[in-house]
Amino acid sequence: MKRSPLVMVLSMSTCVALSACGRGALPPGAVEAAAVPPPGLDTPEGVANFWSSNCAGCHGADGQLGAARPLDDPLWWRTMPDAQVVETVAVGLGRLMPGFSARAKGGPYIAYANLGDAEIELVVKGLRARWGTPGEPAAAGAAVRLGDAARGASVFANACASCHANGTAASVTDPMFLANITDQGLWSAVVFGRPDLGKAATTLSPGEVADVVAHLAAMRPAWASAAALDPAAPSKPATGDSTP
Amino acid sequence: MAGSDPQTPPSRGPLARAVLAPVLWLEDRTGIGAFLKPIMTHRVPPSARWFYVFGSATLMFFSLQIATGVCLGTLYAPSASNAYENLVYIDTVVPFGWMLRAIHGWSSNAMVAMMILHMVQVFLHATYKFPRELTWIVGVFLCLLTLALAFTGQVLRWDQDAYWGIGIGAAIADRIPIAGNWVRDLLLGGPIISGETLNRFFALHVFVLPGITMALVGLHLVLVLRHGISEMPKVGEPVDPATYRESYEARVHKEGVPFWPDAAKRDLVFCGSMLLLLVAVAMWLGPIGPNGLPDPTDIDTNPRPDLPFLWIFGLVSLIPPASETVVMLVAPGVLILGLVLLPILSNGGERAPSRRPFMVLGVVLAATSVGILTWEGRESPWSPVMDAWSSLPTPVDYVKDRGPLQLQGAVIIQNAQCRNCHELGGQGGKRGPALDDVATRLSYDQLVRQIQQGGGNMPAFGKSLTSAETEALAQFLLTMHPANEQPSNPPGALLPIPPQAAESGG
Ligand code: HEC
Ligand code: HEC
Ligand code: HEC
Repeated sequence: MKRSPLVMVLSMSTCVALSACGRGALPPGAVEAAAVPPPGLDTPEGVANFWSSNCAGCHGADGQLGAARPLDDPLWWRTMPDAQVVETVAVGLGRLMPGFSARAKGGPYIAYANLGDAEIELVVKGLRARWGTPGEPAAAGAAVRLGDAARGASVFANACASCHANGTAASVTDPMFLANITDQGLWSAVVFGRPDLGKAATTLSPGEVADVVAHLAAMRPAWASAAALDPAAPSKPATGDSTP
Repeated sequence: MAGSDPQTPPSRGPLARAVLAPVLWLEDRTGIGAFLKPIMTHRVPPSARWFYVFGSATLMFFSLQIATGVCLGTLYAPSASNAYENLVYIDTVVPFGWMLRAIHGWSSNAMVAMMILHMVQVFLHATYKFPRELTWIVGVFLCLLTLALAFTGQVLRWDQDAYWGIGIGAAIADRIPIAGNWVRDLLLGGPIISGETLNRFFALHVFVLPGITMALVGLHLVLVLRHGISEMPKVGEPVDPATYRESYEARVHKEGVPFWPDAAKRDLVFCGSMLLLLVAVAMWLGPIGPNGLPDPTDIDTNPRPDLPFLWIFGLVSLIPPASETVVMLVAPGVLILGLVLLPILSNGGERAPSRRPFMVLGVVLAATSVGILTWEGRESPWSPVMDAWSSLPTPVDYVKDRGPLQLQGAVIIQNAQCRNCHELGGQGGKRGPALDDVATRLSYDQLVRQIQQGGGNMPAFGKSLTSAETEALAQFLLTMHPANEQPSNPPGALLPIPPQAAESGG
């Protein structure tokens, strides 16, 4: 009598342990989940899924009409070499475009999918297949060059001011606006325009583009210098405000 | 069990002697048996019956947590990017890894449950009175540590539930006067929830908190042994600090029974059954989380903190913003202080619950409120959406006809995770109000203030956004009004920005 509860407990635990073994090595409910692997990044569906979970928020559900520039833009793809796009997606661009690889540091979000460069390459190939033209451009085409700011001022007055008057909501010379955008972003905005918002690609010469970008970059407040916007710069985005 | 009976004399056949010899050698050199014997056989009041098993069960679940926790420690890596895959790996690849996680998770809930039962029993029977005041006070701290362990443990899953758990924790820390931001930064490893946060919580969960808990458990047990196990309260036998010790010693000496095996067997049976129940629950319900696969199309996930904290979640969703600081910061402080002071303020007198109706009423009231709030926390519809920032597009209507600075604001709404809490165009979190017509409610100044200082359960973004980013956000939000309704502050689309404003951000 004295030992019977103990014996009972022991024998019952043996039963439970045995039946647990019978369940195999998977938790309840895991079997069905594991049976359907999600489409990989080497398939169009996989890349489309990746886009809607990671990029659609800013660049638009279908690659246009998002808050940030469209990627459904064949001209843009015809100019951008894969290596540059991969680098942008990996480490981000400025403070507003987050990086998605393990190399990107300190974004204000929990990145579930910290990708390797090989995976990002698959994504970029998939996006090019979706929105671009086949064949990769030469690396030199997309390099941002800063020209002469003084000459840029007159280019701006002639080619931009009609749409981007100072002091209006459409201003692009507002120091607050310039503090939030990189030279790369300015360059893309001029060269490719925003076809989804009715602004066509530029008709300016590469030299004039370089000048007008230099003109805008020169008006950026000192504390938000190009170096501070550089995601590779040591200061973390979250603490960027404190950089003098 | 016969072999472990210390009373068996070393006699019998050569086999028994061969088995016993090393045991006796060990005993001779260490004296462990001599040390443990008085502990195991110390006399306890015969009235100490089933009510007294909850403390042992709490200890058992704690030991189980340490054992399974050490095993999990060999499998888990605190990396924000891989935590999710890591848990899936433990669940699906490591043999019986899922069982290990299931037991650790459910045993954590069981430990909290047993601890609360133990505490309620001690409270109802007024066991905290003389001379066991310090035992109770140490117990109050053990209670806080257990909850802290459960909380930090849930964070290590690093899923949507964890995210909201930390969100609330950080919101509470933020309210601490003067040092608030500092405490939050200490907790999160920065102003926002990030990979650093996970490292902090990992260190807390596997080193700091278990270390302190083990030390306090030891102290608690030493105190229990020192003062003996209390008797069941009897009406008309109040505790008198002047005479209690003597009369207790006398009674226990006369009527007491040895702890082992008389009282211990109840503990064994209860702990054994609880262990079985735990294994059964772990087996059928499986590991807890990780919830919220990185699937953006599934915006209906409903993240919730773990069971022991659901009631706080419910409370936070019910109280009006004005009373938050009081409810979230002052009330817990007062409660803890009250529990600590309780045995000091009332260390003598009647112990029987029937003579302490207000105390019983207090327990009933607390139990009902926690029950209702837990239900509220489970039901309340405010689901935050964790990956809204990168997956829910800005409604196209809010992109059209916006200026460059305003569009940057729309990007920052995503990037600063505002949409994890706020809806735009019917999509996003429901933690805060939808922002579609916010400009009809708030002026430019009020918007900037809300963004920089937060408040009302919204984190302050003053430190994580630059002045230019705040400006872009405010300018975008000022466009958030129906076309036929004017914004509450209509100074034109763009307010003039004094040039110094740019420098003031530096
Ligand atoms: C939080 C918003 C946000 C998310 C999410 C986001 N982006 Fe961006 N992206 C931006 C912004 C803003 C810019 C422009 C930054 C600048 O120029 O300062 C940008 C720029 C870019 C550029 C460079 C464009 C150029 O003209 O050179 C590429 C390429 C890009 N994003 C790809 C992606 C991809 C691919 C994803 C998904 C993996 C993604 N982005 C997710 C906001 C975002
Ligand atoms: C036909 C009118 C028009 C002209 C001319 C024009 N833009 Fe734009 N620009 C737009 C529109 C439309 C947008 C997109 C909507 C918005 O951002 O308000 C835009 C956007 C921009 C942006 C912001 C892009 C972003 O990613 O936030 C920049 C920078 C810019 N333009 C620079 C220029 C410069 C420099 C010139 C002169 C070379 C110029 N624009 C000429 C209409 C124009
Ligand atoms: C953790 C969740 C959370 C996050 C993240 C968050 N908010 Fe809030 N927000 C709230 C809550 C809750 C309220 C309601 C505050 C109150 O009731 O006083 C609120 C209120 C507001 C209001 C006032 C709305 C009104 O109608 O009175 C604005 C504006 C606002 N938030 C903007 C933002 C912006 C911009 C961001 C991103 C930088 C942001 N919020 C991020 C939770 C959040």
